Amino acid sequence: MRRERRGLGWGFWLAVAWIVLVVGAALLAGVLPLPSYKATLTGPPQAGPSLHHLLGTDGLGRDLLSRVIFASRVSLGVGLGAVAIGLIAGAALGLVAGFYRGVSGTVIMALGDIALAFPALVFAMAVVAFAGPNVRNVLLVLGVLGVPAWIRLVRGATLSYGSREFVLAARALGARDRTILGREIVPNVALPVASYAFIAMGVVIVAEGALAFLGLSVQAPTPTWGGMINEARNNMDTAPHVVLAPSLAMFLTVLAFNLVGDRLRERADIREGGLEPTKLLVTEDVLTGTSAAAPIRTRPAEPPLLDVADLKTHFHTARGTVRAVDGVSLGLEHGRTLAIVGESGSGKTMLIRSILGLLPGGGVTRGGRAYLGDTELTALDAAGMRGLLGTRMAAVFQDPTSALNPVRTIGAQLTEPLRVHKRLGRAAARDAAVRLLASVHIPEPRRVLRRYPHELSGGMRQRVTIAMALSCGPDLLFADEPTTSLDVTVQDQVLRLLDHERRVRDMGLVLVSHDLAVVADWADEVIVMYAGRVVERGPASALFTSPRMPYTEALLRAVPDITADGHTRLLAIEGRPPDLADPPPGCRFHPRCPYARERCAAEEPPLVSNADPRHTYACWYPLDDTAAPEDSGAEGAVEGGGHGR
Amino acid sequence: MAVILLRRLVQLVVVLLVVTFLSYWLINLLPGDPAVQILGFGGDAHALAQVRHQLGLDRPLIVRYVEWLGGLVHGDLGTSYISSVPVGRSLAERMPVTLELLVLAQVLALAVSVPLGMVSARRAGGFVDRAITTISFGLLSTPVFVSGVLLIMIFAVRWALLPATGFTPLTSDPLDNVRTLVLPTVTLAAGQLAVYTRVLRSDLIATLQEDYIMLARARGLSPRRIMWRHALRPSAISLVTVIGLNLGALIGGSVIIETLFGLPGIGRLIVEAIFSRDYLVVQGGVMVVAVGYVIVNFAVDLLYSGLDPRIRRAA
Repeated sequence: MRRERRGLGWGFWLAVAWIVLVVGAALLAGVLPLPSYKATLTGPPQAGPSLHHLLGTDGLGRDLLSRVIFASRVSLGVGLGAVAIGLIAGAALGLVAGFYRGVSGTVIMALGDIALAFPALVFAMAVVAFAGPNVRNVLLVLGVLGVPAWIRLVRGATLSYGSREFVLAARALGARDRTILGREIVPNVALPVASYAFIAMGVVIVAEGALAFLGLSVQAPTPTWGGMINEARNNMDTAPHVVLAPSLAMFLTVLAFNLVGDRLRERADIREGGLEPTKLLVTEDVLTGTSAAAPIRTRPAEPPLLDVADLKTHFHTARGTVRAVDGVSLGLEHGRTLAIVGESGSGKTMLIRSILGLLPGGGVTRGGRAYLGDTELTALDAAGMRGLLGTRMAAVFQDPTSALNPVRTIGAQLTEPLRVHKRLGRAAARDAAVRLLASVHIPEPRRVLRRYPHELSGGMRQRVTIAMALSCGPDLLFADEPTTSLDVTVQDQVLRLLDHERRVRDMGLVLVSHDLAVVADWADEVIVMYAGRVVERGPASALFTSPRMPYTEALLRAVPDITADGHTRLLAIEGRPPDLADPPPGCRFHPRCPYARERCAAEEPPLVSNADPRHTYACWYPLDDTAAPEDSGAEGAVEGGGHGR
Repeated sequence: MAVILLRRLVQLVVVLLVVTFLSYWLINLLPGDPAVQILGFGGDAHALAQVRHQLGLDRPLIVRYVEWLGGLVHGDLGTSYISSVPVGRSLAERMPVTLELLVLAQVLALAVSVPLGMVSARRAGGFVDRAITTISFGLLSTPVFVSGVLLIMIFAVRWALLPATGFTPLTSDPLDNVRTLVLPTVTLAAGQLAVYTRVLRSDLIATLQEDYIMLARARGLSPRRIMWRHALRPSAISLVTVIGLNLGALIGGSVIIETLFGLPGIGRLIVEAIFSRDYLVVQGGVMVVAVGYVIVNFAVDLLYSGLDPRIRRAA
């Protein structure tokens, strides 16, 4: 498990120190050189702090420090006792409810839910008042009232571990329930339990304080924090320190227990426990992101629709700098389709998010330039980008299920850009939305407007996101794996729709995919990305028929070819994409490349071209055309194919 | 939909029966003999028997409960043995004060915590977020009687801006009513808003990672619009749950606060009844509070499907 060893922080250790101090003082209260907590007139009444009385004296001239320390014995004693009761009873019942489930579990949980309906403090007050206010009764009642929360916690922790792999494995191996509980569950539940013990300690101390405040805890002359606060509040105007001393002691103690519990809980949290890759330390605005300011460069008179030069996107994480996009250049004209191809993790998604300025806030730096026509995107701030997003550039993402807001109707989501950007009225926006839905071949568009995303099929949802992207008539559409999550039968329809819209609207289309065969049919130009870099680019037909870079060849061979005969093996690419925080030296593909030689590991190959200047590749030992004899000569025939179909 | 609602209503009635029964049973759960508690140990056997009869303790529990429930339907919860005032009437008199306090505190807590949670989540880990998280953690660790006393010390004693204790009903002087409720409301809201801010913040952080938020950005929508229209509702489920579940804590808090600020609410009534061994009032008070809790959480359950249309189908 790759757990990020985050320190517990100085706050945690400060809290531990305070707990140690309070507990130590409470234990040693009898031995410490303190005046008696009940001796009156040990000094002048209501005197402020002095050398003899570090916290001053109360209205009867009693030493406040002594009283605060002796009062802590009650709070801590009741706390420990009540937590012990809750822990023992709650842990046993919670383990049963969580591990065996079934009827006993259901009954235990139902009782717990009903118990929540009764105001615990009122119940505690009544019991203590009727049974007599003393430590034993307060401790018992607060302990018992804490049990439901303990059950809930232990059951939850048991449930989450009970279904995890090592427990399932132990079960499959025939381990007995008791063995599993003892060996697998209990040790793992221990951390959440320890964390909650501290939090429960805080809860009980507050509850005891409340009872004491109402005069329903240990009686005078034994001091309690709540009782001291209650007594002193009548003299707040003349001697505020008398009320402040116990208040502060109580606040700091509760805070310390909460803090320790909270930090331990973070440790125990499975979600934060390291099952996920290292997260970005997001410290910037997640809704606007950052953008690096850069000087404006002179541009040609007739700039292309999209022009990207040496774009870099680096993430600064705890593991080091992740070079997600590492110097990518590309260009695209109106009415053309550019495909970006690569395995997941090759940086293709980050490339388009970087162009769109949709990076996740802080910890990211962007270098290089991107232009949309005359506008330098990389020089715009968040507000400037908002002026282009939706209206001039739009995007469609991979998973239409997560791309639509689950709690808003299709109509609300589809009309929103129209109303915000085009300032259409409600009725006009609705009519426009109906036309848009009809244009992407959605039947009964008026009814669909009232639907929620989960009521539509995957293909319908993707059509809706396409309609949404097209709503304000963008010049440039980014489609990031628009068909990957869809049914095979729907994939072709969606691509056909995108291609149709591109032609009708004379729009630039950037098509991102891991499937070279799919995009080769629809793209004019293809860019192959590997580890954040472009490794091969060229006309779709050239790349498809005569790849130069071994990676491109591998991508092609990873695709099942229905025209090939049954004996062709489907090849997955050996190995895994490199760690972008620590890419291999030389050609980044060389550790996985079957043709790699010494030079590949030492020097990074530049993008070069051979016969066709439009077809470039980064490889020291490019594949020869003759290496794929069955494809040679097919170039001319396929050139320009795949469009307008 | 109607079938689901009907099933829910049946569930509600069952839970209400259980809860009222437990409230009723409470009188037997409490240690000691009620008759002795009321009369003191000096009472003779005849007087004790009479009190027991008056309390109905000489009949089976279930019979007494059904009778009590029958009275409850007509608002009759018996007459206090101590004050000779019908329990129903004193509860009805005290109810508006507590309700006003609870509603004001909830409104204040939400009005502060929703924007705070949003600001925190937008730049999670940043300076503002850390400040908000730290302060709410501190508020979370402050018992209401500590924060209440401190507020009185500052605003009532030192600056004499607001009254420390007392209550003016809304009907007699609305302005004075607000003045008397400012400090109690702030005290009660402080702890709640810390909880709400933390819950909303962590859910918002998760929501903001969603693709649909990224796509909303890709459509050029403003951060404010994305937060309020796109992110808040999907992030509100935990918050709404906590609001419901916290009601118990809130009522516990209001018991202390009504005592501290001298407000004549239900909490204060129950405390007084406990001290004077006024069984029927304790019983009625606890019942009202528990029933209120169940009904609010029932409403919360219904609210879920309003917040997330996917639940409508699943339910």
